[in-house]
Amino acid sequence: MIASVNTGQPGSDSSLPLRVNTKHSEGTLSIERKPKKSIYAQIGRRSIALHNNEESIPSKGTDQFNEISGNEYELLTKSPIVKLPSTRPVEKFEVRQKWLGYVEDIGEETFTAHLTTLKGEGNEYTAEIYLEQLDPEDRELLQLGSYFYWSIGYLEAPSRKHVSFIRLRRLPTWQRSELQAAEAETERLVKIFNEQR
Amino acid sequence: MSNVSDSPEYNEIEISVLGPGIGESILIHVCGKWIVIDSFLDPVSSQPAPLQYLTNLNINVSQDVELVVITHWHDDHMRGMNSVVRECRAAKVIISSALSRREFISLLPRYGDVSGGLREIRDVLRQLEGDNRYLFGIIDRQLLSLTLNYDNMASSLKVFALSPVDAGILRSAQYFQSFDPKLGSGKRRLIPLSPNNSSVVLLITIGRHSILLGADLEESSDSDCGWSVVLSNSTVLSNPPNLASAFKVPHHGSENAHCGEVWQKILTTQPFAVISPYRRGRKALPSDTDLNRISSLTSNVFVTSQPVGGAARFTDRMVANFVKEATKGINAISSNWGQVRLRKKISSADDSWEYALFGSARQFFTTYN
Repeated sequence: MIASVNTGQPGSDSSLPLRVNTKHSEGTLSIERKPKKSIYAQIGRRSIALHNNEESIPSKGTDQFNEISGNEYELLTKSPIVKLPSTRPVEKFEVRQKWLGYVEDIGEETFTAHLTTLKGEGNEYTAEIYLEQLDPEDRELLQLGSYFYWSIGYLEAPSRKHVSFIRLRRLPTWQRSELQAAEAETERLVKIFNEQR
Repeated sequence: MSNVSDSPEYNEIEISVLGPGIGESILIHVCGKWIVIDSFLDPVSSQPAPLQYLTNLNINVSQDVELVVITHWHDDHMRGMNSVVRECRAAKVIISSALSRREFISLLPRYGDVSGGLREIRDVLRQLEGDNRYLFGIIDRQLLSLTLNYDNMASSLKVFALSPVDAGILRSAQYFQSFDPKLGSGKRRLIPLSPNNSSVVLLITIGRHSILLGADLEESSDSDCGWSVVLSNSTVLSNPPNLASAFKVPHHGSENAHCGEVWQKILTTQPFAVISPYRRGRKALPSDTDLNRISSLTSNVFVTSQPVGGAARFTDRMVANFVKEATKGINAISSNWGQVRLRKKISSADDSWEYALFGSARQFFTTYN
């Protein structure tokens, strides 16, 4: 499909058409680079992280992997990463501290989150984070149980900058077929445990 | 000096409460038999802490664990439970009756992938398919009865569930139903909120000794649920065994779980009260107020680890600065866990227990009068 790609500096509206091959063969693909942020593609209602080394799902066998093991891991890695050619120098992001978090409570000015360290110091933390740390669009997505990444590090282009950003995971939405499968599994378990009693 | 690897004697009762910053597990021993209640993972080994403890004592967990109890489904009580059930293959498994409801079971395929406690329960239920070794816990159900022979004497071990009550099961079902995901809604973790009406409270009698394990049951503003309803409806408690001299304080010592009648009617005058801590954001349990309240009721108060950890510190200055700017507060969840161990002979006529503290466990010295 033909997509419009914003490859300019933050705030720029320059764009170029680009042919990409993805499993998402329909809809409009738009790409945005934000200041100090990773690049996102919007395909229909789905937002996809495109960026390079900002994203690091933990490797199998590590403690961090064990913490989010099994299907949860698969779910967290489901969002497709689409590699696109860029007309601008690649920014290198050196991560010093990175957490996978989930939201446990939402207040008027803060949200409470459980943080599991993916890179950096410590293991698990509980934090009250100011809502203003979130982009407005992420704030709209914030709800109990939302997953997010919080990364702190150096951005190496064009000059070295210290950056911190919190980005909510766009986990897949419930599809009709998944809900039907879940219902079938519920029926199976209910039947088994009623019969066994 | 006590050693954590010293096994209890055959004729000795042991109650061990294990807990890190978030998490709880309890082990009970008598006459070579063990009961395991809830589980958490050792932060260093990633192994279920109760299995690790029993293995260190050279216990054959596949034969010597009689009962595994899942008091409720929250993450802090569930981590590693699937392994515990698998390894303790001779044990009967107790699950809260509230979790046998369709409303709860329907959450398992929907949230099991992304919510740790639900994943454990889902995997436990799948493991128990075709295996009849489980029983649902509900008020007044006897879960275990064994005859104990020791020192040419005979006695008995009985385990009763005191909760959940009927209304608690219904309230829980309504609560579970509220999480039914809608078509097109985003997947997310399920975050449990209070009050917890589905917990299995246990009363254990061994000879003349009684032990009350309060799980996370709270006192409720709902007049049909909570501790007061347990006390007024339980036929086990209406025909009371001896007063309990050991008490796992419910819900990490919170004010919400306090019921004065429990202390007046079920416990001895100086029970050994053990608390495991919990923290979410700036809210830490037990608070100083909680500890003072509990220590005004008994001089024997123990916590498995520090109830209030300090603010997290980062050696990387840039990380520290960003964290300071972005948060109102951040605390490391303690990876150190402790053990409060209580022991006494079955034949003891004394209500007191010999205690030993390991790891980060502490006795709380008190304002008791």
